[in-house]
Amino acid sequence: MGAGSLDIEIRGERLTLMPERAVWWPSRRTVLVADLHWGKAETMRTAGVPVPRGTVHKPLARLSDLARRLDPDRILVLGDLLHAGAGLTDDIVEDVSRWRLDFAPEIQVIPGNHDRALGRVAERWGLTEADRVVIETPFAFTHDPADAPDGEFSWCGHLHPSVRVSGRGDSLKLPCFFVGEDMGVLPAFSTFTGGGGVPRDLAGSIYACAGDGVVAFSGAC
Amino acid sequence: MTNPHANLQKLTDWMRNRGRDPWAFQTEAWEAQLAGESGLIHVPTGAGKTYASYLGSLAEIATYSGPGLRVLYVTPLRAVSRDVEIALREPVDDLGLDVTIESRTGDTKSSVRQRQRERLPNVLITTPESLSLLLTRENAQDLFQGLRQAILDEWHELMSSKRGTQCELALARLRRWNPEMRTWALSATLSNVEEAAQAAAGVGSTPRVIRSDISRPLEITSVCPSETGGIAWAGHMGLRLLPEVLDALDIEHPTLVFCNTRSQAELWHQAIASGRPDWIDRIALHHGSLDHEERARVEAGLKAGDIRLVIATSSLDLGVDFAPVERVFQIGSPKGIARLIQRAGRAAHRPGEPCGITCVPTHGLELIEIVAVRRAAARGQLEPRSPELTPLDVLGQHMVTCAMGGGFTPEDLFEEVRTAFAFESLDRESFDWTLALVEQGGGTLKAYREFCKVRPDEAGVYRVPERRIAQMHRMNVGTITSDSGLPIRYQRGASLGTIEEGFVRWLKPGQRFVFAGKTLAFVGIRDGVVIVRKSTGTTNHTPHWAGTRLPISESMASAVREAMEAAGAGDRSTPELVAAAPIVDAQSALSVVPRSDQLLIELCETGEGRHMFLFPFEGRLVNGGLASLLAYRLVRNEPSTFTISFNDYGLELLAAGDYDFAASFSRNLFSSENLLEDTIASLNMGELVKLQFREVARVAGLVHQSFPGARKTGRQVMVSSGLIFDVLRDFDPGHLLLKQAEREVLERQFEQGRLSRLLARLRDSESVIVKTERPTPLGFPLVIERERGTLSSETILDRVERMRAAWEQDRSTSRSGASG
Repeated sequence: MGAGSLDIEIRGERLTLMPERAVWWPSRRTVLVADLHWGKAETMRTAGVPVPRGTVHKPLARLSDLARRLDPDRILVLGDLLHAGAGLTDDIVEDVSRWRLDFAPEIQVIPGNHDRALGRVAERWGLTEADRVVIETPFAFTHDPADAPDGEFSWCGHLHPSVRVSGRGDSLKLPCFFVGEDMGVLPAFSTFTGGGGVPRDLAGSIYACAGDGVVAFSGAC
Repeated sequence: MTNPHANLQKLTDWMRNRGRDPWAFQTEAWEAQLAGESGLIHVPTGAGKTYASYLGSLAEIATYSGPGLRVLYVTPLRAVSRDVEIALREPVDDLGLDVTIESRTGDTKSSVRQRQRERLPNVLITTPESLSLLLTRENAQDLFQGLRQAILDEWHELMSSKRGTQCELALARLRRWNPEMRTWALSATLSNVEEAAQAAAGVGSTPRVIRSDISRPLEITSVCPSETGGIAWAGHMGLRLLPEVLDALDIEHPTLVFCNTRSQAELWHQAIASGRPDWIDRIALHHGSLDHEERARVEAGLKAGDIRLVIATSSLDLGVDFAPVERVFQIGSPKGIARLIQRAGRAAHRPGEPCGITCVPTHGLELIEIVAVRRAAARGQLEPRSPELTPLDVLGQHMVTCAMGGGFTPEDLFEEVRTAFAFESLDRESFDWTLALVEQGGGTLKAYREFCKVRPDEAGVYRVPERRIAQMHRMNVGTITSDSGLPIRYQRGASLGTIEEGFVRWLKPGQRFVFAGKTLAFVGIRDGVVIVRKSTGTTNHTPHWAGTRLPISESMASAVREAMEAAGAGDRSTPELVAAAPIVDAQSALSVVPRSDQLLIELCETGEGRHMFLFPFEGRLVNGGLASLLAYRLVRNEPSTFTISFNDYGLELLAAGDYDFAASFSRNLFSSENLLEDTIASLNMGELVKLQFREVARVAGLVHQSFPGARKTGRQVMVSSGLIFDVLRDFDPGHLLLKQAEREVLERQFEQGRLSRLLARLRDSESVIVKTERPTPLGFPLVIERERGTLSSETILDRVERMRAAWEQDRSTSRSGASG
């Protein structure tokens, strides 16, 4: 699936980790993303923090680009599509609506803790609001890892995992996927957000988003 | 009382009756004040500056009666405002003068503050931040109408910081409202006295400089390791001198022990307290992350004589004027000559008496620094304190302040701020840019909609239209960047201070660490508050704080180069040089000890990779600037990645992969050609500007330290300056505050011409290139330096792939890897 992406297999399903901070699930023609935080810049501006306009255009373009290459039926958002209600300015509502006209896939959103205002834009943006836990065997999807049900392999967001890679005289902090025994966590799709850590109490592998590629650190934690 | 001169006579008599004959410099200052002059009083600590600045103006204002502010006393430290108030009150009470005196700081009771919003006392004692806050009041002009004199205490501390700029702007405003107003600044040791006076009194004034001939002989001694004990080749000594320090301390003599960092203060406090458990009730700790009440308790205890020994950071550099300190110790590098003299001046706080300071090295190389500082002090090589020049972030904040405090028109404000020393050369373009920043967000592309701090009304007067913006501005006035600390408390709720999130993240419940001089056990984090309980026993685990570390000064750096050369040539004429002999000998054996006309370059390979060390001895800021420039010139030649570290002595480039330093090093690296272009390019690739942007963003109000209202709503708009930096660089690279951060780095890190002077010196120096088996005593501290940056011309993917390969290769070792 393009240079730089990386295939993994979980519970018999093949998945592709994309350097654009998304997961491609080919058998369901679904792209998974988490933590987009649209409207964060607008929220900042209303609070007197001068962040430039137009910061939503790059992530929209990234989604369009993914859709062009993968031709998915569905984008499944694992929570925090929005940042805050205050950030839903006329401009951004309009910008996203216009983008949506040319964006064919279904967009299904599992509400995250930042998505309280989702109802205000769901119709205009053509979003389907899903339950907090969506089960599509062998996977479950939630925003917060704390909501993950037992038994299924759960894909979550919320943590914005990142990793510090170092060695041989170099060091970098990068967003990453975390894949444990029964849970996977996606990096935040938004670049305008800070990085958290990876779950410290779980064993698993780390897949760092390194520019145009995904690099595996199998069994790194 | 109607005649100022008669009043002054009474005040002079009052001093005499109390056994304090006025000094000649005091009389001179009083006469000058009555003559309407402004000026600066430059005398050693403890000589009676406060009365020198005050009694002349008191003699004048005692002829008036009725309400209204007449004298404004600005002190950098709110903790001393109470002491200043007592001192200023004494003559008023004794002579029954009709003058009201009050303080207004962050600690003032809200009922008093409420009253002061309507009417100020005749004499007001306040801090720069509280002064700016008063200027945000709608009735600011009424409050300050009739002001006769402003007094700036500890001006040497204020003037070289943005707090000083903030004062200058406030005074410029007050002077426009009160053209007759005088300004008197008080300053201790510095070398650019005339400039300091001008900065205080403003553009266009002719301030008088008042000096005294009181001199205080200074004795710099040290605690040295015994010759037989020796020091390790790597030089690190840490607490090894503790027994000697314990011997040298005497609880009967009130003593200050200064440390350079908060962690070091915690560590030494714990070590001294456990070495002398019998002193436990009389020892205390003082640093900027401790709870405010705890600090106040320590200051009061020291003054009252209950606390006899305080281990402190620069948090106590100011504000012990009123405490009976007899001895002063300095742990770690003295950093600067004037600074050490000021600290020594805290002891035996009486003019004319000798003062002394005992230096305690924590690293073998600091023995050399002690020799250097002693020689430089004897020659009187003091450092200047340079005022900030046109910091537009401070101007932006001031504009919002003025918009709230009655509003402004751009024409008037432009004229007004140019009377402040820092903004004398401000051009209209930069002024308009800054106005655009607070009006529209400062973007180069177009106005940031939704963002609006100030807006002109129908009459063209700029005001703050939104209550929420006003409220937020009041909560964030000031220029002190505090670390993003979390409050730390006991389970039952008593507050201990603040601690960095990065430290807490790695604690496990039950884990012990030392904070506020106490052994604590980590319980957990609740609602953003770190909860701890008391624990027993000792541990060396102390929090670290990312606070800025002071570089050694240029004068000090040149003195260190000389002392290093002397040590290398076999000079053993002082106890410190004798004690440093093992480390100097080790350096000679592994490499060379450079002469001051040589540049030492060491190349070595370790498990970490290949290192190149350079030792210009220029202080950490300039060494850092040079490191960034050299790395840039190297990565431009071929794709490569360097990790950079630097300290006061030198710099290190650590190459990723198999890089051949010996082949790529040439003297062209020190060329002055295209210096500015290369410097700016290196800044854009590296991380220095991003670091500086943190301060700029905070002062200009891009990121806020406190938000009104619930924490919850606050979080959604909390954003790190690093993220704003990235987003601005991506979407609006011409943004004015990016330029401001770049300019500040250029000024500080590459100080006006100092880098090109350094390059010239390096070109004239003899380069001595030595391949070493392992890092030398000079190089080793750079290897273990915690703060590092990278500069690279390779793709992220290439770098990560190389690191992964190394990680696969030695998964069993801890050198490489990934951690969350």
